[in-house]
This record gives sequence, structure tokens and C-alpha cells, in this order.
Amino acid sequence: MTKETRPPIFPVAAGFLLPLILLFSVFLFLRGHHEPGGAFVAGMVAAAGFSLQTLARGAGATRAAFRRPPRFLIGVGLLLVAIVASAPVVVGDALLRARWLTWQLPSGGVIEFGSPMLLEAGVYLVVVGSVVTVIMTAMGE
Amino acid sequence: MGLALAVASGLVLALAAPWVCRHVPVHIAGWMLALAPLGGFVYFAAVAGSVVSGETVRFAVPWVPGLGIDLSLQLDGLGLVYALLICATGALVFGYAGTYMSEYERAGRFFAVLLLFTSAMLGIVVADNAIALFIFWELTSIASYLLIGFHNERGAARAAAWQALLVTSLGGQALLIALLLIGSAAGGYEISAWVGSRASIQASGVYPAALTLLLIGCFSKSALVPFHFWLPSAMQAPSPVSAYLHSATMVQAGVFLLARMHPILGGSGPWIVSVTLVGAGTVLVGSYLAVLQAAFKAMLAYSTIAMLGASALLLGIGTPIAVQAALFLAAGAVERGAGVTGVAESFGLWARMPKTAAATVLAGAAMAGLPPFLGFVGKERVYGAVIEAEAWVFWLVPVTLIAFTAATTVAALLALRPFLHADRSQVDDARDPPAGLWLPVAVLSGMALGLGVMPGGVARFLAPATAAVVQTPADLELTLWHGFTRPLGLSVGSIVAGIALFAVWDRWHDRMREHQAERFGPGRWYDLTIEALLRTARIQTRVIQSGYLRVYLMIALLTTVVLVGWAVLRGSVWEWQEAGKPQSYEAALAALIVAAAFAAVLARALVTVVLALGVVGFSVAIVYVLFSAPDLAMTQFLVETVTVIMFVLIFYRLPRMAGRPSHTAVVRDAVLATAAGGLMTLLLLATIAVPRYPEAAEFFLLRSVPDAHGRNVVNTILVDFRALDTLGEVVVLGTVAVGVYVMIRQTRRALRARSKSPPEPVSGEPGRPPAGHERSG
Repeated sequence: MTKETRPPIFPVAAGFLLPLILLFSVFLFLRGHHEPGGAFVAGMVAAAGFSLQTLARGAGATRAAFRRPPRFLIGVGLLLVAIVASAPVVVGDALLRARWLTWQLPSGGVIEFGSPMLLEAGVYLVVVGSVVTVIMTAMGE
Repeated sequence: MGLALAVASGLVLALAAPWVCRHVPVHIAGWMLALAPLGGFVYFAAVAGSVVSGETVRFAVPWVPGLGIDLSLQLDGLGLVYALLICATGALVFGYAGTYMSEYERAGRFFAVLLLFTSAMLGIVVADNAIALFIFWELTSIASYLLIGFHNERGAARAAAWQALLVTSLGGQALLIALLLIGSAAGGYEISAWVGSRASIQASGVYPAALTLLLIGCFSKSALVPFHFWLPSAMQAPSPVSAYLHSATMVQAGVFLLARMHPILGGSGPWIVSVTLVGAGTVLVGSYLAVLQAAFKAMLAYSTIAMLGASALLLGIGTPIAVQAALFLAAGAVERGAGVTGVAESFGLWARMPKTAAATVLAGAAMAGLPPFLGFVGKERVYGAVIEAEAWVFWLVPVTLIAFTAATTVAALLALRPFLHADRSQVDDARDPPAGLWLPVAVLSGMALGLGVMPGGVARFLAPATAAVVQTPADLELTLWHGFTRPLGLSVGSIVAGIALFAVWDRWHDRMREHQAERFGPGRWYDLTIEALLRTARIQTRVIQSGYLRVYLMIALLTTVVLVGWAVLRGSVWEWQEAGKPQSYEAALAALIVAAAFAAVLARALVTVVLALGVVGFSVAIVYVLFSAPDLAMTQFLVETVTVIMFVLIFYRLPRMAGRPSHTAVVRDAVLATAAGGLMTLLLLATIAVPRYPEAAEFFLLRSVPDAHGRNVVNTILVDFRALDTLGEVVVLGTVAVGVYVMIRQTRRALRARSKSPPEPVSGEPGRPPAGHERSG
């Protein structure tokens, strides 16, 4: 398919779909700790979204959306994972030991934030970066 | 603490060296960085008094407490002599190198590696823990590799560096095993403690193996026969490196370790015979080859080898090798000042380079062992020892005589030939190089002179070193003048013979040179071995790495089926479990999967294949849903989706399938696929047969909320309980993606460079891939 013969519906629809897909991906990511979901699945959803975008509008659009090469995300993700994994060692704890912060809300609810969430964020970035890198490479980017 | 500082200061300065060399003129930076060995020299000189009087300086910190390994350093008489030698030559070589390297761009890197080497070398001579000693030992090999290959734009330098690394690190592996064996026999890794259990080590069953391996390690490091061939090639390194590593210090490490191990492994029949024979053989080979050479540095290299052989031979007796370093430096100075590198071509430089000439002649006299240089004292001592040795080694007298004759000849050739015969001069623009190049030569030779004049002081230092080797209080007496004794006669004899050989060298050299003795030595064996290795690798690559994805896939599947199938059929139990009657929708799903699989196999267009495979994948995801595994199902759906997208993207760029594959290929593929599928079925049945372990599920269900703050048990296992697995998987995923990126980009670039013609259709039959599409997968 060359640029001239490509029907306009697909690219336009992809443009609307991408934000929704990414939102869904974030939803899956946050949900993962208590309900089915999680970093890997969320990352795959985001990657599928970007793949759709790449198919519809070409690699240039995706590259513009990323600003840096997508493989950059792999490095950031691995760095994050490495930091989360090794930070406990620095303070004399075991590798990957989880730490949790808990706030008791006046309404009775609880907000929790733990280092595994950072680990998940790293996994998410690596998954998105890897899949998008491979797809863009296959596209001839 | 001071001991650790003296060793580590080089490492610290190594980090600063590139910065210093960028901001300070290199010839000044050299002297600045010389502060590391100079500081070491001051330290070792300061503690020398107490060490000589019998104390030992010790430093130890726990290193790998789990294995009982400490980083322990200990300075005794033997280590002190070597440490002083390393620091003194080191300081002068650094100063010299500053001037020598000032024209090079990478002087910073050069000094960084040289400093690393200095630290590692000091580490070897003061290490008390065997493992620490091994690490310092390997560090010197690596530094030597980097320095020999410093001119990495030259193929010869790269080959020489590679050769030196292969030979010395092979010896290093042997050494490591030897040390581990001794450690297991002695029950610890402190060398000082090994001395006490000498009897039990020598009586243990590991002694023969440990001794053999240790000797291989020492011989290869010190370039003794039959490992001598790497040292002359190593002369590709810049002159300061040849002087410092490959003459004065690193090659001494093997001899040093022999001395260090003498009180532990030595004294037995095999030790005495092998060390003596190898030492004598090295002396003869080195001396013979040294006088055959025409280039300064090759001559010095072989002469160094001969001296190392003599040191091994006469373990524990002083060695005149430091002055060899001075001559190497002189060779560099002449090379720089006059642009000549061989003795055959350079004449009459005396008038033009008077300072260099004077310093070089001084060094030559020191190496020849003329009185009153230290070399003379040492030579007398060696002759004395040889004459007094046991009856069976009577032949050592002629061997040493040959060694010192050759040393005298080489010294005379190097020190006199470049400078004499002004009338035959062909080098008109020669002049004295800067002081940085000839002053260190003069200082080193001056030291040999000064120490020779007062041998009593030397003896006072060498006595504790000798004591450390023979483990009895040594009464070492060195004097310049013994009276008219047999050693004096031999000494004079070797000087006269050496000068006589020097006189007839011109005529003799040309005739002997034709025989090209090196052609038959172990150096040739090394070349043949490497050649054979490379040829095997090429053949193996051609056979295994066909470039076809389907061949790789076939090899992988076949290996798995054969190995795993064999294990399953032999060992495991599997049982057919009655699963009950399937529901109608389950049966329909199964039928869909089977139909899609058939469609994938029979399809004629690639897109159909991909879609059919997609149907299989999505159906499997539905199976997961039916068996209440939502996490798994979601993952399967997404992976399947992205896989289909990727396949489509890639097939979009592939040519269409050209025709059907042949009948044989179809049968072959069918058999293989059936076997692989059958194996998976067998594995599943075997898995079912394994008794369940409900405690694990119970544990995770119970602990996931209190321990991991999450109700999704699968997820808490992934990111908390078994987070280490996830860590590994993420690294693999990222690595694979980067690998795909690099591989496809490189292939594409190579293809673009080769031709711009479109790829031909891929056939189902073997043959060279036309455009390398498959290679990139």
C-alpha cells in the first residue's frame, strides 16, 4: 500500500484509538496488583496500540510520538528495574526486598505504595520498548 | 596499611592518568605519575630495615568471608627485594616514557595501563593469599596484552599481544588449578601457612599434578623453554614497556613464584630435575638465538630469556636482570635519536649522540658484568654456586659459561656497534634525544655500578630473601674481589670469549643467520596450532551456520526431540487420566484448533498461514478462559495479537512463496513436526503424573495479601515472591529486542551496500538464500 492508495478511515480511526488504548493500558497496569492485569499485559496492550498506529500511519508517526528511539525505553526500564532490585542491597537488605508505604485515609480507605510497583513500571517500559523496537525494525525503520 | 597503600596507589593514579596527560605536557606528566612507583620505593626503603632484621609487615582484610578468603599482603625478605626493584625501575621507566610517549595521542591510556601493571606487579610480590596472588598475576597478563598491542593499528602488534595473552593466560589457568590443589591439600590459602605444612603437601596425592601445573604457570610467564617464543614477539610494544614488563619485572614473576614456592613444593626430585633442565635449556636456546639477531630489541629479548633461564637454574641467587632494562631503554633512545633499530646498520653515532652513547656503554658494561659492576659480583657468585653444586649437574659449568659469554657479546654489540666507526656513518641527522631518554639509562646503570662497589649492602638485603627461599638463615657474603679463584677464572674466560665472539660476529652472523633457527621452534608449533584452530572454526561454521532459518529450526527441534524424548521414555512415568466427557463447546473449540492447524500446514499463501496460526493461538487463549486462568488468557491474547501483526509486517516484505516444496521435504517436515508435537503431548502427560504440591498454592494464597499487599496472587508472585525470575526475564526480553534491532539493521545496511536489486523469490528447496532475508531472523 502506498501513501496515495491508503484509505483514510484506518489512519483516522487509529488516531482516535491510540489514546483510548493507552488509557486502557494504564488501567490494566494499576489494576494488576489486585485484579487480573499487570505490567506485562499492560505493556503488551500499549505496544499493540503503537503497532496499530505504525500500521496505519507509518513508522514516522510513531517515531514522532516517541521523540527518542523506542529502544531508549528498554534502557530506562532496565535501569529502573536494576535500581529497584539493588537499592535494598545498598542499605544492607536482601536483593529485591519490597518496601511499602501505607496511608490511612480518614474515610477509612488505604493508599499503599510499594517498591514492586516501580519494578512493574520498569517491566512495562521494557515490554513496550522491546515490542515497538522490533515492530519498527521490521517496518524498515 | 602502608603496604596496602603502596600497592593500591598505582590503581588510584591510573584513574587520574588520562586526565593528567590531557592537561599537562606528557614529558612532565611522566615524571608526575612516576610518583606512584617512587612513593612505593620510599615506603619499601623505609620498612626495609625492619624486614631485613627479620620482621614481616602484614595487612589483611576479609575479602570473601564465605570461602574463608582474605585479601592478605605480607612483605618478607624475598618480596622486599622484588618490590624495591619494581619501584626503582618503575620510577625511571615512567620518567623515560613521558619523553618517549610525548608524540603519541594515547599517552593517557598508556600510563593508566602502566600504573595498573605496577600495582598488580607489586601485588604479586607481596600477596600472601594464593587467590589474591592469582588475580594480581592475571592483571599483569592483561596489562601486558594491552601494552604489547598499544600500537593497535599494526597487525604485528595485535598478533603479538594476542599470542602473549594466550600463552600467559593459559599458564595462568594452570597456576590457578595448582594453587587450588595446594590449598585443598593444605586446608587454606595463606602461602605463609603453606610453608608449615610442606611435608603433608608433598606427601599428598595432588602433589604431582599441582607441581606440574605450577611449573607450567611459572615457565610460561617467565618465557622459559618451551614457552619462550612469546617474548621476542612482545617487542612490538613501545620501548619503555619492553624494558619494564618484558625485561625487568613481569617476566620475573614466574621466577619469583618459583622462589616463593620453593620452600613449599621444592626440594623433591621432580622439582630439581625439571627446573634445572628447563632453566639450562632456556639458557642455551636464549643465548644461541640472541647472538643470531640483528635488531636491538630482538637481541635483548633473547638475552633476557637466557638470563631468566639462568635465574630459574640458580634460584635464590642474585640476578643481574635489572640492567637489561637499562639497555632496552638505551635501545629506545638510540631508535629515537638516530632512527635506527638494528646493530647491522648503525655506525658512528658516538660523535653525534655522546650522552646517549656514554649511558649505553655504561649499561652494556653492567650487563656484560665487567668489574666493578654488580653484574660482576653476581656472576662470581653464580660460578661459585655452580662449581660447588652436586656432581650430577657438572654440566652446569659450561652452560653458565655459554650464557655469560653470549651476554657479554650481546652487551658489546648493543653498546658499541651503534657508536663506533664514525667513518662509516650513514645517519647524518642523528643527535642526542632529550635528557628524559638517556638519563634513566645512566641512572639504572649507575645503580648497578654503585651497588657493585659496595656489595656488602646488597648482601644484607639479599640474605633475608635467600632465607625466605631456602627457609634456613642464610649467610650471604658478597665481595667484589675474592682473590684468584676458579670463579674468577671462569668470569674472565667468559668476558674474553664474549669479546672474541663480538670481534668475529660480522662474518659468523651472516652464515648462521641462513639457518633461521626459529623456524623449527615452538613458535612455529604455536602458529600451526592457531591456524588449525581457525580452519576448524571456519569449516564448523560453514557446516552448522547455513544461514537458513528452517535449518536452524530443524536442528533445534531434532536435538530437543532426541534428547528430551530419550529422557522421557527412559525415566519418567506418564499416565492417561480419564478427564470425563468434554462439554460440547470444548469439543467445538478442539475441532477449531485442529482445523486451523491443518489450514496452516496446507495454505499456499503466507498470509493465510499467519491467520490460521492466529486462530490456533486465540483458541488456546479461550481454553485458558474456560479453565479460569484470566491472567494467562489475557497474556496469550495479547501475545497472539502482536505476533500476528509482526508476522504480517515481515511477510509483507518477503517475496511470495515460489512453488511447493518437494515431496521429500514435505515428508521430512511432517515427521519432524509429528515427533515434536508427540513429545509435547508426552511431556504434558508426564507433568500430570507428577503428584501435585498443594502446600505451595496454599502458601501463596495465604501470604499474598499480608506479605505482598496484593490480592492478585499471580501478580504478587511475579513482582514480589519470585521477582528475581522477572528480573531475569526482563533482561532477556530487552536483550533480544536490541539483538533483533542490531541484526536486521546490519543486514539491511550490508544488503544495501552489496546491491540494490530486488530479492528473488524464496524457493522451498535448499540453496543459498538470495538476499539474506532469512538470515536476519
